[in-house]
Amino acid sequence: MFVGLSLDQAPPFKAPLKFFLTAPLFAIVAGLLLLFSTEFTIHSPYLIATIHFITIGYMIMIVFGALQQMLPVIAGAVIPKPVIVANITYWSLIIGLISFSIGFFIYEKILFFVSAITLMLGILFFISVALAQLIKVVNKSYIVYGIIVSLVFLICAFFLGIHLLISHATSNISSLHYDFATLHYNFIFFGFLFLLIASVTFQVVPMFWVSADFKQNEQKIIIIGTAILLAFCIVSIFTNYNLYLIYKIVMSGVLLYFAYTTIYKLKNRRRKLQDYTVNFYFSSMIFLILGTFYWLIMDIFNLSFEPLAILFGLGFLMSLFNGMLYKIVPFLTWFHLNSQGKFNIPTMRDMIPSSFIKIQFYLHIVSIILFFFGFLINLTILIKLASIIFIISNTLFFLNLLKSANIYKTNL
Amino acid sequence: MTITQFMTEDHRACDEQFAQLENIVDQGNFDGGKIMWEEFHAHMLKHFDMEEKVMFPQFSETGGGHCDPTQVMIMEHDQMRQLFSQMQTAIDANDKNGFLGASETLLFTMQQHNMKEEQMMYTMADDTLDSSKIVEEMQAL
Repeated sequence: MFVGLSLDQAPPFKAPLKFFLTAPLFAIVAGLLLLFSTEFTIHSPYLIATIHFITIGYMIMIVFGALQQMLPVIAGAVIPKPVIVANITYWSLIIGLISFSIGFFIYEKILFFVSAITLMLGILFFISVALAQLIKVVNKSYIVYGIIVSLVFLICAFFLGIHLLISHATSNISSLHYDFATLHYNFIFFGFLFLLIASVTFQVVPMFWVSADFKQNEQKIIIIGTAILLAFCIVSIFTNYNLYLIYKIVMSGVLLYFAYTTIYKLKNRRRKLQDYTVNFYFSSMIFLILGTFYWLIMDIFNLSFEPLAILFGLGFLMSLFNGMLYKIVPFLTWFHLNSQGKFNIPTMRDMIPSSFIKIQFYLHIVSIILFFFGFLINLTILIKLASIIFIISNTLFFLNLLKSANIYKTNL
Repeated sequence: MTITQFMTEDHRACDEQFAQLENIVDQGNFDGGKIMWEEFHAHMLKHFDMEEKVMFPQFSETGGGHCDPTQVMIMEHDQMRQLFSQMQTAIDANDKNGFLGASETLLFTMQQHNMKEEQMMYTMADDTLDSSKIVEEMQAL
């Protein structure tokens, strides 16, 4: 479909911007919750709420904001009526997430139903609109297939999540509850987030750092391999634990292969300028490798689950999202001002001082390391210290993005 | 050779020159940087000419498929021409930060533009035009 190539294909800046600016605010809320928390086990209601401030409030917010902007460029798939779609999605996510969290804090069952309905509206509505456009794309690349498959896994993960939520609401925690929970986070992490990030990486790393392209075979192994393995994961969870071990080993191979090829291409990039976004990308891949090894050995050494969530969630995913927004927001600020005939405006580089990005990068890394060891040895003081640094890091992240957004506002 | 293959290869060659140019300016080597800048700038303008003087007019004559995206492509070329002018001013003044600020903005503008061309514009042109004739005419410029 080539109808996407028109002047109005880029959504108005305000449509994705509010998703990008809200994400660090939810990370700050998650940090505050950890700071004042007394429970640090993954299945405690308090930590479930905190985790969803990161997965829905931070990650899904950024992904939905970025997809509005990227789909027209990557696939010519234009989101129709972008402001209306953005508003419905955004407010449903906000209401859904807040009712979800309060529901878990006070264990008020009616709030579980409210969040189930509003999250369903926000997530399914946006995915349906995006998928309807993506399916129409002719000559789909592996990147487009990767995005489609990742969104399908988000739908599956979402319904599993709703099932888990309703189980809490009806106090009907079955013997399969934790199996469904395992499938839920496998689908969210590998099926949705990993596949989406891999697909976007195939496109953006060669483009923005002038590196070698990801070969078709490399893309095929990662996208098709992950999808097949997740189908195998369903069977393994409900049949035989030994099959789940095989799934873990092969999936680890795919994760390590992706991390290795990305690091190799970034290391050999032709564009060698000092750029903290590259540091965020490298860190993300290193945390993916560390997380994968931890995942492999955690059962052998009877290690807890929480440090794995730190390595994968904060280390791999948040590092990558954080770095990418430092490119996306300044570029969109420049692009939208320039498109409106404003030529005397700062360049991308001048919008957020690199010294501020550098400070935030180190705060982010230090908070992850402290969180990891805090949860590993179960040392509350370390977790509290990590929470404080995490809050400062995300406050600075928010202010940095706001700086760029304000340039747009003042130059309009 | 198809239009997509020929022009995509030319994009990659421009990317390569761009990366070398930025690296050399980043090292503070303005003498070498000015030579590379001239080469890169000339290459980019030739690439625009191939599209604006050969491919786009012939594509528009066919009715442009369901819509005619060439006007958007030309508008984005103009955005890049403004950035070339900022880069020219900066390199003439040996202003490293000014140059790298404009060049990074150019890279993003250029890459999202290239992506649209490679995934959509060139495919449409290959579908509607005599590809080998267009490539020959573009090479002859």
